[in-house]
Amino acid sequence: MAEPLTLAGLVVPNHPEAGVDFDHADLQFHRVDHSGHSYEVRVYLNNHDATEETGREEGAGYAGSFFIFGHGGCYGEEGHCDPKRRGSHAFDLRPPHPLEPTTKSLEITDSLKRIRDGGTSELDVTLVPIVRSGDVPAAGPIHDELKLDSVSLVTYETSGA
Amino acid sequence: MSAAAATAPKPPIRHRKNVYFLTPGQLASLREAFAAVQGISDNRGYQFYAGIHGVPGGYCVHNPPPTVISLFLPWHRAYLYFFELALRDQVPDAMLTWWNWASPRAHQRGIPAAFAADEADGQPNPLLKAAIDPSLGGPHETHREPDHPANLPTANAVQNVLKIQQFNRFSARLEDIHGDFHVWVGGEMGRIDWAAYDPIFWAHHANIDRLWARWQLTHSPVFPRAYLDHALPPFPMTVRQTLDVSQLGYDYASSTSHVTVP
Repeated sequence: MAEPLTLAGLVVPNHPEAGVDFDHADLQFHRVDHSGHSYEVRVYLNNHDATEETGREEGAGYAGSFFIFGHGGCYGEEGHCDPKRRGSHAFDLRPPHPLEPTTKSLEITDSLKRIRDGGTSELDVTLVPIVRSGDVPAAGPIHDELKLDSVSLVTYETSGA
Repeated sequence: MSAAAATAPKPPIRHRKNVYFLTPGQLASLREAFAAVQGISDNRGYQFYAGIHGVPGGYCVHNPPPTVISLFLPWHRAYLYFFELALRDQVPDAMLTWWNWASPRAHQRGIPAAFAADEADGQPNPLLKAAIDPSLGGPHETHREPDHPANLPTANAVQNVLKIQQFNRFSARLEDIHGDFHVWVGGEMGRIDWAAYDPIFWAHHANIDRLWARWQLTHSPVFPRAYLDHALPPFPMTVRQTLDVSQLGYDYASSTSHVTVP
């Protein structure tokens, strides 16, 4: 199964001079592939060493999980599972190709505030994929890595003016 | 409208009930209906309906790209609605049941006995597993490999989702919890392509639908307007037609009991 993946360099927002604080923070995971296995993705903050054995405690940097409900490989013929093979047409009313990569989101408000209040200005995100053994046999080969394009940290002020 | 139609009694709203509180008769009706559709090989049968989701139909809506409003909830509401009609064509008083996998009981005992027993009344339990057409090139029968019950989605996670105000964000988080459960069950339920063949799929999605119905009671607008007239293939239904479960003839209840005036 896929190795943990660390993305470094997100900036922790800290603007005490503004007199206003964020009250909601999301990590957004962009263009996540869901064509293969189904699995849990555990998200750790500022813990490059997180693995499947790492606990899900606040002290270990665990911020939460998201889940990939995967298709388990391709049961169609050549080109069936490739969104790029569909083509791009004006006035195309079809729903998106089922294998267009998706976006996942995880709220990390409390975790981010703890990190900020501890004086850390950068945020690294480590994603640990957890597949349970004994899965249904796949249809053909499945790429074995966690695939996504990027991660964003987005904070919001949802109260006040 | 004719005078007779205006005064005709409306059919009563039927209830999908908590699996833990089904009466023996209600559970027997559900099992009888499942067994009946599992024995039909044409487009009234279980293989037809289960096959709409992943293989071979490929119609299910999951994991939408960020550029569109998710039709995950209305599509699955339509899916359950038409499948339930197929059940009721065979056993008129059968209704889908819901399993609240976030409940304390679920977290102690895992999959409820209604769906876990090997047999019921001396017959194989049609809610335990189902055959899959071998010509599809996949597994021939469903099976489950559930994780520990304590790892089921939590009531806290559900409560947090129900507080979300904006529909697309609510739908995305509820879909994530829904995916958590699919992964928890494992086996064919752990794969989009085969999940709907497992009978527990329907109790799971009834619970998801119930949570959406509950969210709808306290949030407005209930769906982004621009998508109200989107079709939900292959069902002859639009998003708008799925928004009020009472117009589909059902509601969610913990339990029901009924007596007739003699």
